[in-house]
Formats: sequence, C-alpha cells, structure tokens
Amino acid sequence: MYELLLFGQVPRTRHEQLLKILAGVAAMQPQRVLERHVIYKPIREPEEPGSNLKRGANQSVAQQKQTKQTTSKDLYFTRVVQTLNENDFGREVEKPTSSTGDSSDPKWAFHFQDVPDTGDRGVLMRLTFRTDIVGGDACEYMTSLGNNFVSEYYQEGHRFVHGNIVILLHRILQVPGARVVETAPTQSLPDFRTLEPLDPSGGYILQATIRVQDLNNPSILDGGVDELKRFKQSMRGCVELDVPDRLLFDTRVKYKPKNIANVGMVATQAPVR
Amino acid sequence: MKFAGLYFIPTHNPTEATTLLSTLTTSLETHFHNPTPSTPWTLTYRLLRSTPAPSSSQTLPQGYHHILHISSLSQPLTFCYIHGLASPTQIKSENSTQDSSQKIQQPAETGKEGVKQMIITIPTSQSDPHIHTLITHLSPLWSHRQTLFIPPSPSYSSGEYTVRLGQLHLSRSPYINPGTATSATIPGVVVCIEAEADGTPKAEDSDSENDQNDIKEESGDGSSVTLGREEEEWYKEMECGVRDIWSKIWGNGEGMGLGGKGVEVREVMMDWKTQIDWGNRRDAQEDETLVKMWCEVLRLRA
Repeated sequence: MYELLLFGQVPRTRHEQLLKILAGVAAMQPQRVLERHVIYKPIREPEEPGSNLKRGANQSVAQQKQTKQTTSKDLYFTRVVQTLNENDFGREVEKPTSSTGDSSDPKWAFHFQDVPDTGDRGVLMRLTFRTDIVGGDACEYMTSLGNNFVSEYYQEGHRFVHGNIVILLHRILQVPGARVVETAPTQSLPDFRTLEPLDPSGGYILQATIRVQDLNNPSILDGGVDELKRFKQSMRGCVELDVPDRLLFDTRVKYKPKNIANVGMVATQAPVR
Repeated sequence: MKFAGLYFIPTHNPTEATTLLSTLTTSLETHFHNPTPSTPWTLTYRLLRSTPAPSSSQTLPQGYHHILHISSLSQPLTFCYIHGLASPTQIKSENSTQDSSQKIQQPAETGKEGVKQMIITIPTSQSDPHIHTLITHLSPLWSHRQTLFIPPSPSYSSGEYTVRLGQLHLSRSPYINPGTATSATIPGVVVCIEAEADGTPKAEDSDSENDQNDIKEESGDGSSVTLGREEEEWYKEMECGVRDIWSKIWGNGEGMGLGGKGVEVREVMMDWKTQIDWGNRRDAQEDETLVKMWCEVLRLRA
C-alpha cells in the first residue's frame, strides 16, 4: 500500500482553533489518538556502500562481464505501534494473555515504511505496510525477527476523515529528563501528565494522508494527488501544507564505519539527519 | 481440551499421492465408526529462514519463521511462529566479542540449548502483505524457503475424534490461494487425528508433596498449579486413541498404492507434557502446541 502525504506545521496557540476548523471541514468530531511507537533496528549491520560491486582489478574483461552484480539490500528501521487510551498511562503494560488474542480490537500493529519515492508530483509518496498483531507479544516478535530496541515515544493528537483524506493533527511526546540508554521497551507506562513534547515550542504537525492500494492504476493515483492538492488549497491561509524533504523520512539504516562512535538515536518518527 | 496427532506419508509423484489419499479415505470409512463428513479444511504454510550474514564477522543466530494458517484451527487468524536455533557456544562467543552497539537483546522464552521460540497471530487477510514485507523489504533478515498448501480437503468426525486428510502441495510462490491453487509437486499426504473434549476440567492447587503422580508446573503468576490427574489421564487416553485409529486406517501399509516400497511414515504428537501448564491460558497454549506440531512436520527438510 502507498501513502500520499502532505505536512504542515501548527503553532501551539492555533491548535484549538484548527481543531474546530477541521471539525467543520470534515463534518465530524475529532477522534482522539494516543499511540506508543516502539522503534527497532536490525541487529545486523549494513554493508559498506559499493561492497556488493565486484572489484575486478585482476579479472579479465570477459570475467567481469560474466560476474553477476548483486544488488545492495538495505536494512530498515521498523516499529510496532500500540494504541492507547488515557487509562493505560501510569500502569504496567498489559501483557498478552494468549497468542489468539481478541481479533475485534487489536492494540498492537507492526509498521513498515519505505523511504519516500523521488519525483515531483506535489505530494510525498511512500510505500507502507501495516500488520495488526492480534495476539502474542509484539515486542518479543520484533526481537525474534532479528531486531534490537532503539527507542520509544508517544504520539498524541486527533484524527479526522474528509473524503479519502485521513487528517492527523498530532505532536510527539516523550519521557523527560536525561536520556537513559534503554535496551528494552518500558514495562510500565508513565503518567501522561509527565510527558513533554519533543518540540519545545509545543507545536503540532498536520498530516494529510490518502492511501492507495497500488500504483498500477494511474487514474486512481492522479485522483488521490488532485484531492490532496484541493485540500491543500482549501486550507491555505489556515495552515500551509507542503512536501518536506523526502530524506527526512528515510527509514534505512545508515552504514557507519567502525572507527566512528555510534551516536544514540533521537526518538523521532524517522531518523533525523 | 484438545489433542492431536499428525502423520505424514511421503510420496514421489502426484499419482501416488492421489491414490494414497483415496485409499486412506476408503480405509477410514471402513474402520472409523460411523464417520460423518465435516466441513472441508485448508492449510497454507510458508517457511522463511533467517538470511546468513554476508560477512563472516557477523555470526548471528539462525532461525525459522513459520507462517501457518489452518482453517480448522482458526479461520480468521494466521499464526507466526519464530523458532530460533543458536548453540550455547555461539551465544557465549558472540556476547564476549561484541561491542555495546551490537549487543543482542536476549529474546524471551529462551529455553534449553539456546532455542528461542514465540508465536503471534495476525489477521489472515493481512498475511500476504506481511509476508511480502518480510521477504521483500526485510530480505537481509529473512528469505523465503518454501510454501506448502492443502486445497479444500475432507474431514470426518465420529464421537470426539475428527480425522482430516489432505495432499500437501509444494509451491514456489509465497502467495497462493489454497482454494484455487494447484501444484505439480506433492511431497506427501498428511493425516491429522484430533480429539476434543467438551467442558473444561478445573485445575487443582496442590500442596501435597506425597502425591507422586501429579506433574507440577509453574503458572505465569508464580503460583504452583498442578496438572489434574483427570486431565493427564485424558491426554494419555487420547494419545492412545489416536494411535489406535491410525493403526486401523494404515494397517501394515500394504495396499496403499505406494508400490510396496518401504515407507517411512512420520508421526508427531502434540506435546502436552512439556508445553501446557494449567491456568487461564490453557486453550491458547493448546493452539500454540498444535501450531508447533504442524510446523515440525511441514518444515520437511528445509
């Protein structure tokens, strides 16, 4: 599945006003969104760029032509997202009682997002997958897949649906204080009131998303792009929606030479350069 | 309460498999007391294996990722079972040579000999995209090994026993619809004999140290919950019953259309002794144990 995206920044002082405007535009009450995002990184280290290419200084030309060029395989950060409500904070994380779980309302989901495509359509476009985890321990699953825990953060906001557009007005929250080197997700959620915004100014992000199943139908893709652009036009003067630098959403694990010390990751939606 | 035993009969070609299935069905109808046809069942199984690291400096644990859907076990859910294999020597050497950036976070449920295992369930409707993500975007970690499926196949019930038969089809593609897919490669035939009891016997708390016949297990909250004697007897009785039914269906193996060759039938029983304790999760543990039983057989030689 692909996502078509536009983003805008909203100062804290305009948050309430924008909520009311969006409620009017979407003709619905805002839906509260509280999520916990747990980020994982593969244990395996990425290969040195270009190492997949055969270095054939001693090979004959014929051999070099026959040598099969292997493609580089990227490693990605992935995440599991837990849907929360206000009552979940300040308590221990509820352990799954069974692997069969409750299929009616899965709380955990596995998310994969690829680096956004190049191209200039006026919207950001990226491949994304989401798998609901109905039963079993999602964090254990990520570890068993061959990942190490990196960090976690909370996403708090409101959601609207306007036509085919899912509008999310949200901000990132994290546990304040000195950064502790964590090796596993927390077993008890903090008190919600103690969380601090990642953005010290308290600003929000407006994200407008249209999901497209596949890109083989150009008319559907063009229709989605046009709908987002119309929404952008309708919000002009209220909030400026734009296309950020695609590499800010790069989820690939970067190669680091051994002689450079590893720096801890900042808890953001995507690795920040 | 559930119990099941699985029998895998390898075959060499589709004709042999078809003949075997037909013969087994006839034998079942002859020896099984008043068999009643039940809802047909299907199975889809994908096996992924952890991709070896490209450089010899990274020796990471290897493992299998089984993705199993059995319509008779759960129609809406697909089981994802990760079964890792790492020798204690390997784990020790990795922990001593790694720097902090490569420290392996020890997964839970690390059992004997460093074997790790865990199961989650995902909606069956999302299993194909999930597998696509694993083998396409997580290909440095996991690679597809094989896909097996059983098209809609017969099952018969009599009393508390249900017998399910099916031809295993091997597919190169990880994406298949067992309802419509076909394959020219049939590694064998599976016969699953299940037993299910109505009602849920209550677990007994026992402090008696003199009772030698009870098996003590630790429940999740730390309290000691014993396997009741009735439950233990039921499992033993069902295990004998399953073997008895199989021996009647299979006989001595002659006349099954396998050309008189020596056939190694593989038998795998649900491991109720070591994998089920008594508590609120018993039903889920039975399902997990059944999944592990199936995965052990379906892995074939991968």
